Amino acid sequence: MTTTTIMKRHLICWIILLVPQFQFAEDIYQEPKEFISESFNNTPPDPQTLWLTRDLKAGVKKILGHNYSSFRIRYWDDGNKSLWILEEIGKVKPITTGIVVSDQKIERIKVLIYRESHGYEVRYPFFTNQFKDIKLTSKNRLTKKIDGISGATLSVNALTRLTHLALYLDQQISH
Amino acid sequence: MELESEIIGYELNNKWILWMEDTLFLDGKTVDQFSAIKGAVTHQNIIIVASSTEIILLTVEGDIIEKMSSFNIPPGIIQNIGLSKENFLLIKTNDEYYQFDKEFLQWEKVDGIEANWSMLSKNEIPESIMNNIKNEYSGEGLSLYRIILDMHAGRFFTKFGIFFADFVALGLIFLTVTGIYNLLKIKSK
Repeated sequence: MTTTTIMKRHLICWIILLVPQFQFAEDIYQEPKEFISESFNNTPPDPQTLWLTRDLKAGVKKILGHNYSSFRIRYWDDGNKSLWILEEIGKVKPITTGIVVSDQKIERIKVLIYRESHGYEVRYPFFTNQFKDIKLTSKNRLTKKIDGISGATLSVNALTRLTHLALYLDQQISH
Repeated sequence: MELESEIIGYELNNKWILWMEDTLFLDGKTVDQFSAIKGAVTHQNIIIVASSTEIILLTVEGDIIEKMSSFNIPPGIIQNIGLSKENFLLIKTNDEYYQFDKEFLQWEKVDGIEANWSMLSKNEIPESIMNNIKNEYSGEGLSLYRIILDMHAGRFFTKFGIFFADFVALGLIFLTVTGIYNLLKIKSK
């Protein structure tokens, strides 16, 4: 066995050993607290909660394909817009996302905490800007198709589901 | 199968809140991923469990009502939780005390308040609950993910596994360094 072959094998071993150490890092792009404050011009309203009743749970399950992880969802509402901090798993870890809904349309969406090993591209504005002004149709579907990102399909799907969920939840608290 | 990891336990109205290896259990049933418990109390049929950076609200059946983290809880590292005489949830952080409202939505700083702080159970965890945890922990066989994770964490072969993983790592470093040395020597010839 040549030295080069041995070295190549060692390099592969190193990659195998080291990659798992980094793949579960948590990237905080913006603290949820800051996102809330910024979205309401530094004067956020008091938080409120929406309890997921049996009917709501069914609606949420239809959107996500599974039950939401908790019985109540916290939101902030100043009478003009509502803000939701929601989480959905892309592949194995939850993506924490801030979503602002105004006039039953998406005003802003931002990935706040990303924990997956792949698919972090969904944080970039070129992707999140697509969601601006999206609404729900009368058939409870998004008014626009979201363009995917190669290699980030699961994260793209997770964010699309969360957008759908935020619009649905906003309907329930009707301004 | 023997559980060798540390188990933290709180006994609340005949319910056992347990924590082991980043997992929260209620009466031996897995609830969620959670960091090490700092305190647990019950309040109006709601079980409240705190770690240093998170608070989780549970039904008595173990369903999650809400999991609160950084932006929903007072600043600082949580040391313990308790109930005031008026039955408000209290949080003790490094330097401060905070009191939540009845809905657990907002909090305010309080001074010198008397409280029943949560305490670790002195009773032995019932065998039936320990058996539940063992069953949950072992599950239906090990996934490949779990095997690889355990391998990297040195969890194979009990304590020797950690030394074995370290030994393998040192061996790889040694072989890589000597390999580079040999390669450079060959190229220089």
